[in-house]
Formats: sequence, structure tokens, C-alpha cells
Amino acid sequence: MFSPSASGFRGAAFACALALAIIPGIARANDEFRSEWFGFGSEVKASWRIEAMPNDNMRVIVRPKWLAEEHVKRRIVVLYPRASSAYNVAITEILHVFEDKQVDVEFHVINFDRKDDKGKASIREAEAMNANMIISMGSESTAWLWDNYRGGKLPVVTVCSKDPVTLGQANNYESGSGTNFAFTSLNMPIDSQMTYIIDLMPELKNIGILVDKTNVSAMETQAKPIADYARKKGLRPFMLAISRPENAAAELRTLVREATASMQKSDVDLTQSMFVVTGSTSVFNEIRTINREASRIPVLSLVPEIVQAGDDSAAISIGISFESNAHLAAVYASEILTNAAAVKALKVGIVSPPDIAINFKRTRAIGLKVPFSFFEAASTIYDPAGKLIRSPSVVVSAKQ
Amino acid sequence: MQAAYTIHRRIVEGLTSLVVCGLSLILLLYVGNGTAKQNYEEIYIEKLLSQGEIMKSAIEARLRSGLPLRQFVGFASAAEPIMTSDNSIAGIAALDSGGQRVFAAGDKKIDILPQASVFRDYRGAGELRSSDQFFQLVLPLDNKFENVGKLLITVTRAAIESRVESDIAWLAKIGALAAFAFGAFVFLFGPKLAHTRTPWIAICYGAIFLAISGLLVSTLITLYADGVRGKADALANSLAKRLDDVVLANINFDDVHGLDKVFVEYKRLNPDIRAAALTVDAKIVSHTDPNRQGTRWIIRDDYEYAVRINPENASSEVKVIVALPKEVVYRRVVRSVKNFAALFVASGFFALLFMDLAKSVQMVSARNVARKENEVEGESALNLVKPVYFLAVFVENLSYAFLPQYVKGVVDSAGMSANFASTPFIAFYLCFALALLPAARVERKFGARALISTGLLLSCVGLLTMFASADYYHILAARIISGIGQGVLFIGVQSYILAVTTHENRTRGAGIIVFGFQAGMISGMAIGSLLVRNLLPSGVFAMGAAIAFAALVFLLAFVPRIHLVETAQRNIVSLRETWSDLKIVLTDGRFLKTMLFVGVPAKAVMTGVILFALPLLLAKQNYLQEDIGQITMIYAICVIVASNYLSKLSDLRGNTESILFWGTILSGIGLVIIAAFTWDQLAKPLEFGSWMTIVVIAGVAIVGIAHGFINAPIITHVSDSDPAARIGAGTVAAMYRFLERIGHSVGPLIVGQLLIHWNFKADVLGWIGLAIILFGFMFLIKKSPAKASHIEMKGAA
Repeated sequence: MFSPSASGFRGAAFACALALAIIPGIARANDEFRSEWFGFGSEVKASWRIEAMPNDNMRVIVRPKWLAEEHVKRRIVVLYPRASSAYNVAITEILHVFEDKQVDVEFHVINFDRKDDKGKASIREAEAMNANMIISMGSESTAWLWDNYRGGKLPVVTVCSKDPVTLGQANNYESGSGTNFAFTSLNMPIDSQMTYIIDLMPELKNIGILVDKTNVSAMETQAKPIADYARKKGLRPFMLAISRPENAAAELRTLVREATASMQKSDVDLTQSMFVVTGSTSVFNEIRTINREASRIPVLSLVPEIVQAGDDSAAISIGISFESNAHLAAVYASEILTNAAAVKALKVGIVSPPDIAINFKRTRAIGLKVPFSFFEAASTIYDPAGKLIRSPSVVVSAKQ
Repeated sequence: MQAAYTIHRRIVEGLTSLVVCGLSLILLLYVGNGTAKQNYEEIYIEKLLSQGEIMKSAIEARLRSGLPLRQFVGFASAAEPIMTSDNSIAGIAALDSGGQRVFAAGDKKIDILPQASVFRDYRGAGELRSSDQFFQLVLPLDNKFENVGKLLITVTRAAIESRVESDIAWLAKIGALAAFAFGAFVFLFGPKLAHTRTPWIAICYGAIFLAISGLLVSTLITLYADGVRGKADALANSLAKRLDDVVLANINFDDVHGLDKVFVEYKRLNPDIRAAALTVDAKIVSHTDPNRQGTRWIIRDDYEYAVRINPENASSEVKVIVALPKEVVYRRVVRSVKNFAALFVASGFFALLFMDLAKSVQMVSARNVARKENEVEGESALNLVKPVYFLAVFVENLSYAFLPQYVKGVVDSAGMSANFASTPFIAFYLCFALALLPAARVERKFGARALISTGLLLSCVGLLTMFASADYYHILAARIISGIGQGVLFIGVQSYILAVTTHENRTRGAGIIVFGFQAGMISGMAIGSLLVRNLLPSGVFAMGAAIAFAALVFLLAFVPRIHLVETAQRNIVSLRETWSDLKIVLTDGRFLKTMLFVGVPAKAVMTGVILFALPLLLAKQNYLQEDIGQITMIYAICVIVASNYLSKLSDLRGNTESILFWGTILSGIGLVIIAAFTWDQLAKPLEFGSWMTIVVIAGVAIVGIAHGFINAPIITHVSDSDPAARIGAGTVAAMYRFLERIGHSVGPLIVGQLLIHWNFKADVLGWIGLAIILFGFMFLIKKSPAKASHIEMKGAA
């Protein structure tokens, strides 16, 4: 019933490392609290009390410090399938949003370790404690809950989960699920994603899609839809799929070099071609190799975090970050808790506009002009000198 | 015999002239001040919105990138230029979603005004709230996910008003000087000028009124132009704010593309601007016209607003330039000044009235000296009753601009069905009509002056009831009382005029009703809509009641009684006798054809075409509501002007039949001309002042003039009929007034049906015009076919 892929673990490992690198203060443990699987931003402790259960190391309780215990009327059970730095980012953002909104709620975070019996026990316990909601953390939890708790008593809000429409969990993006599930998505709908890509390069002819063949979800929710869309629109897709992640660098070197040469036949100055890096850890881990072999062809990432300072970065990224997705999920959860919205009526939550990150050092190096609308909407920008000038925590505020 | 000019009389006349001139100018400047505040506020609020958008977009750009509102560090630098450039702004603040103040600039103690104070709702894009002290723009602050707070920009009302008042204050001083000069002029030269044929005093009075009006208009133009230019300046700043991020981010404009889309979109959202561009060392990088890219910015005869977006010490100069055509400023200013027209006309009517009043009071004064009793029975009595009727109509119309919304608000807040909202209006018109015939009977017993007094008293009571209570049923009762009051007053004034006029000046007398009705209506609606902003509905009702009471006092003090012997019978006749009277008039051919072919169609055209169909058709052609109102006002003015002239002519020539005939024919021609405004060659969506508008105005003016041919002479005409000799002229006139209501009622009904049948094409008005022309000929032929060929347009020459 439950079969986690190897690529899932690899992705988690990379994301974990990445998140630890880019998000200041994310901690796996500290003096008062230690957990093998539950991490959070250190600033969370200022407003939340994190308590480990002495008899159950797969459970954590998070209580608001600003409210006396007797005043906390609501409970949310958060179901983790395993450890992931992405989940650390997500839970941190969720706690921030609930703190901002001053919602009286405590969180019971349970790692069910992708085991049916533990999962079912968690659901029973949630109902028994009169929890108000379950937050499903990650695609694995969402898939399991969809199979085992669809139509259940408690509302479920998904976070850090892949596109429910592509996965067949939701019928469309326009209406609610009609069930006890309110979905959010880490993926942009393909039409929307491609509209941004065409805006970036209106004369696009060739599109190289870089993916790990063994990463099923990246293949199904990103690579194949892009290729199908490209064919429909008369573009020439190059499916550049590595087959052995451990040999990614070598495979990518060959694949990208050959694709570049092939693209140049129809696009001599390489101004109408683009490489798209999907959310495959083994692929985006090799961004330096990809950049080197891509020549002047822009490399666009679907994972916002791949745009970083310096040259080892995608030129631009268009996607949804864990943080943004978690923020939207928290807003959904808050609306359901406060009866501002009905769970079955909430349409699939997709962050719009998406998170855009731009590295002007890379764009200038390859001669790519960025649409002004991207510049205005970007949440992360590195200037031509590689300096971070805009991010959720950095703002250029006054004239120099 | 001329009354002797004693020093006492000269002082009285000099003082009277000073007061009359002063009152006229005070009213003129009051309405000028009111309309200037209203328009300047509008323009100022538009500017405020643009400034608010600058701040909002600066903050939201960061919120969308994921920054919590509390961590936005650019608030002070974004607020500072706005605060510095406009000292009316008391404070700018940002609140979080919980309503806590996160940032503030200026007065940090100003709280968000309560939700109940929403003055204007921009449908999700923000609200304008108001209190006695402030206007407050409340704009939502959103990130990618939800609303996270509010931006407040608070403006001190007094600061906006003082800008207007300082401009009007110097005019007030000039006005005061002019009034004193006029008083002195009359004191010094009055006796001498009384013997000249040229009405120098009236000319001098008119010249002063027009000169101050001219100065007022010129002040309004300066004021509005400043406001419009301020808005354009804010627009330029908003564009600069969007683009200066590129400079702040150390990025070249070569690194981005799609700026042309920004400029094209900017022009689409602000169609008034001629061009906007981004220039680097005067060379265009991006322009609202993409073909201009790479060329140099050309300076035209526009208002140009340039904002430098890179530091002063930078090697190159990066600017955002917005060009606003001067004609846009002129057009906006002209529109605002044009909207002052109704108030100017209203002030003019009052000025005329004050002058007439002064003349009448002087005549009374002179009578006391000269002891010439007979003069009182004539012109001065007419002149004295004229302001009474004008004021009675004026007070009734003071609330018409806001009464429908007011009643609807009462109905809504009482949780009643929306259908109840129209009942007070129906009740008013029904009671007005039903009061006409009984009033005529009562007049025989108690006299016209008593009826006028009763009418004024009832109007006063009706308005006081509206002032005292906002209960729906009290409002209904008030409207019933006012309806009866206006009906009674109408018959009283009409009977009074018939009694004090001779056969030779009867039409002129009836013209007073036309003047009073039309001028009172225009003035009341125009001034009422201005007053309600400051006084609120209850204040307007109170003021109306006070004016009605003052008119009553004036009536009792100055308007002479008339001898009841002149009003035919003294006893109140029974209902059966009324029915018998009605049969007499309805079996009289002359009365019947006058009513059916002239009177009723004229009233039906007024209500059905001018007041009902024309506004609908003009709105369909995208005319603004204010333009439609002004076109309707032209009708009323033409009625007044034509009526004044035709009344005299009618009394002079005595041939009311030919005047009515030509009035009917002209009315038909006017309608045919109005119908022309959808002809293909004219049916372009042109603006006020275009050919299409000129055609409509010409048509409406002709219909107005035509009705000036009809409204007063028709009373003389029916009063001269055979039934008048049997049952009295007053009764016949009252019967006619009652029966002409058929036209009032069926006009919108018939025209509405025809419009639906003809799919709302203006052609239908042309067919109605042809039918009216046919009625005109039937009016002649049916009565005396043998004479028809001899009809000459004596009266209309």
C-alpha cells in the first residue's frame, strides 16, 4: 500500500541540506528540545513552547506561549511521514502565520513513519481528542490520508504536497474537492507555468527538460506535462532524463552538450532555446555542470531555491517555494478553523503569482533580458555583482 | 403722479439696494464656495488615490515577495515625499490585520475612522471614510495569500477647505465693496435716473452680479486647474516609483525588457495623458508609443511632469516624464465650471427676485407717500406674490435631489420592502392633484390669500415633520401634508393672480406661475443638492421649513388682501355642484379642444419626453448624468424666458389662440429635431459641445420655448371661455389645472410604451413631434375652419 521511492529520500536529503544552508536559524535540536525528525526555525521558540513526549519520540506538542493553557481551545494534528528539512521550513512558516493571526491552537505533530497502523492510530487519536483539523505534511501523508481518511470527520489541509489534479486527487483547479480535504499544491498548473516561460522567451523554439528518470513524481508532474504542452504548441522538447542519479554529472554533461548542439541547428545564436531544471535533486545538484554545457542557453529552474548567489545558479526560477505553499496552507487552515471558509469549497491552493527568483549575474552573462513584470514580482533577486538585493528578509529601501 | 424723492426715501432705497445687492452676492458666493469645495474635494481625492496607490504598491511589492508587514523598512522614505508635498495630509499609517499600528508618519494619534463613516467604496480597492475633521483613504494591503493590513492616509478637511476659502475670501471683500457702491449709486443718482427711459439701476445691478460671477468663475478655473495638475504630478510619481526599483537594484534598463508594456498599460489606465517615457540623458528608453524608443524627448505645449529616479550625483540622468495635454486640464476645468451653471442660474433667479421684491417694496413705500391705492391692486401685488410662489416651490424642491435615496435608506433601515420607497412620492402627487378641486371651492369662501397662507403653512408643517422624524410613516404623512399644501398653494396663487390682473395683463400674471414653478424647481434642486452636503437631509428640511415660514410672514405682512367680491361666489359649493361645473367645462368645445390638443399634449411631452424619455436616450448615448441634468435645465430656462416674453405679447395682442397654435407647432418641430440626434451622420459618440449635443440642445430649447408659448397663455385662453362666464374664471382655471394632470400622468406611460415598441430609438420622438403638429392643426380646424387660413403668427413675431 505504501511504497516510498528512493528518489524521495534523495530529494529530501538535498532539500534538507539546502534549507539548512539558506534559511537562517533552522534547527534540528537545541538545549531544551531534541528530536530526530522534527525541526523548526529557532525564532519559533520565542512564541511557541515545543514539548517532546517522554514516552513517545514520534510525537511533539507545540503550544502558544502567548496564551495560558486553559485558554487554548483548538487542536490541530499534523501528520508527518518522515523527517524532511522541507517540512521544517513548512512547519516554521505555519507557526509564524498562526502566531501573526493569534489563533488559539496547539499542534500535536505525529510522525506516522509511513506505517498504516501508526497512521490509523493517529487518526483515531485525533478524533478522540476532538482535534479540529489534520494538516497533512508532504505528498506521502496526503496520498495516505486520501486513501484512508477521505470523507472522514475532521477536515484535512495538505501542505508540501504535489499537484493534486495531476495526481487524480482533485478534479480541477477551479472548484473545491467536495470532501473533507482542502488541497494546496507545490506545483504550478502547467498552463500557467508555460505562460511564464513564454513571457520570458516569446520566440522559444527548443526546450530541454532536465529530469531524473527515477524520480517518478518529477517525471509525472513536471517533465511530461511540459513536454506534452511544448509539442501541442509546436515547440521542440528535448527530454533529457538521467537514468543513474549517482552518475548525474557525467550523464548531464553529455545530455546537455548534445542537446545544445542539436538546438543550435535550428537556433544558431541560441536565443530561442532554454533548459528547464525540474525538481529532481540529482539534477539540480549539478547546476554548475548544466550551466557550463548550456553555453548561452538560459537555465530556468522550477525550484526557487536553485537561484543562488554567484555563478552556480539557475538564471531564473519560477515555481512555488515550500515557505509560500506552507503560508497558503496555514491561511486555509485558519479560515477553516474560524469558519471563514468551508473545507469542501476551498479550491486547490496555488500560490499566485509564483515565487520568482532572478540572478542578474547569470542573466547578464548569457545576455538574457528579464521581463520587467518578473522583476517587479520577484521575491528573490541577486544583482549583477551577485549581491542579494531582494528576498523575503532583505529589502532595498532607500535611494543609495 | 410721481412720488416725491425725500431724503428719507433716498436713504430707504439706497439701503434696500445695498441689501438686495449684498444678498444676491452673498448667495452667489455661497454657492460658488460650496460648489468649489465639492469639486476641489473630488479632484483632491483623485490625487489622494494616486498617492495612496504609490504607497500601496511600494509596500505590496515587498509583501508579495514574502516580507511580513512589520519588517518593511521603506515606510518612512515612501511616506516622506507625500507628506512634504502636501500639507493637507495629516498622517499616513500602516495597520496590521489585527488593526495595530505598525508604521506611522505625521500625526501618530490618528486612528482608523469607523466603518460606518465610509463615504465612498472603491469595491475592494479601498474606501474613503470621512468625519467632521478628516477624510481618510483606507487601502487594503495584500500579500500573495491574503489581506495583511491597511494603509491609511488621513487628510484634514479644514486644510482642503481653507485652500478654497482663501480664494473665495478676497471675492467676498470685492463683493461687499460692490454692494456698498451700488447702494451709494442708488442713493446719489436714484432720483435722477428714475426719470430716464434706460433702466440704469437694473443695468448697474446686473453688471455687478455678472462681474462678480466672472471673477468667481475665474477663481474656480484656477483652483480646479491646480487640482488637476496636482493629480497628474501624483501620476508621474507613481510611475517613477515603479521604475526606480530598477535603479535601486543596480540593474541597467538593458537587463530588462517589457517596459514598453508598462507604459502602454499606464496610458490605458490613464487615458488623459498624452505620453509617458523613461529617458536616460534625454534619450527615450521606453515610451507609451513604442516607435519613439531611441529618439529624444520632444517638448510640446503640454503640462510636463518629470521625476528623476537616480541620484543627483550620478553620471547620467534617468527620468520619468509624463505629459498631460493642456486641453485635458481645460476640459476637466470646463466640466467642473459647467456644473456650476445650475447654481449660477439659481443665484440669478434669486437676484432677479430680490430686485423685483425691492421694486415692489419701494412701490409700497411710494404708495404710502403718494397715496395711490390703485397701484397696489396691479403690478406690485403681482410682484409681491411672485416670490411667495417661487419660495414655496423652491422649498419643496430643496430635497428632490436626495429625497429618493433618503426615503430608500429609511425603508432599508426599517427592514421594509423596497416597494414602500415609492409610496411617499405617489402620495405627494396624488394629494397634490386631489387638493386642486376642493381648493378651488374653498377659495370661493375664504379667498386666495387664505389659501396661499394655508398652503405655505402645510408645506412648513410637512417639512418640519420630515425634520423631526425619520420614521417611515411620519415621512409618508409629511409628504401627504406637503402634497396638499402645494396643491392648495398652487390654486391660491392662481386665483390670486386671476383676481388682481385685468384682462389685459392676465397672461403675464399666469407667467408668474410658470416662472415660479420652473425657477423654483431649478433653484431648489441645485441649491438643495449643495446644502445637503453640509446640513444633511434634516438640516435641509429645517431650512426649507424656515423659508416657508418666512414666506408666510412676508405674505401676511406685504401681500395685500383681495376683495372676495371679485371671486364670483362666496359659498363653498357641494360636490354635486363641482361635478356639474366639471360637466360644463367638459362639454365646452373650446375648453375641450384646448385641453386635448394643446394643454394635455404639452404636459405629456414635458413629463414623457423631456423628463422621462430624453434622459434615458441620452444615457444610452453615454451622456453623463450631470450633462443630462443640464440639458433638462435648458428646457426650464427656455420656458421661463419665452413665457416672460410671450405673456406680455399675449396680453398686448390678446390672440391667445394663435400663440397656442404656434406653441404646439414649435413643440412638434422641437421633438423632430431631438429625434435627429440618432441619425447616422450625427450618431457619433461625441462629447458635450459636439454636433450631436448641439442638435439635442436646440431641440430641447425649441420645445422649452414652445411650452413658454403655451403654459401661461393657456390659462388666459380657458379663463376667457364661455364656462368662465358661468362658473368663474378661477374655477375654470382650477378645473383646467386638474385636468391637465392627465397629461402629466399619461406622458411617461405612453412614451415609455412607444420606446419599448421602437426598441428605444429616438425616432419615436420624431413621430410624437409629428403627432403634436397634427394636434396643433386640429386645435384650429375643429374650432373654426373658416378662420384657419387667416391665422398669423402675430404673437411669435
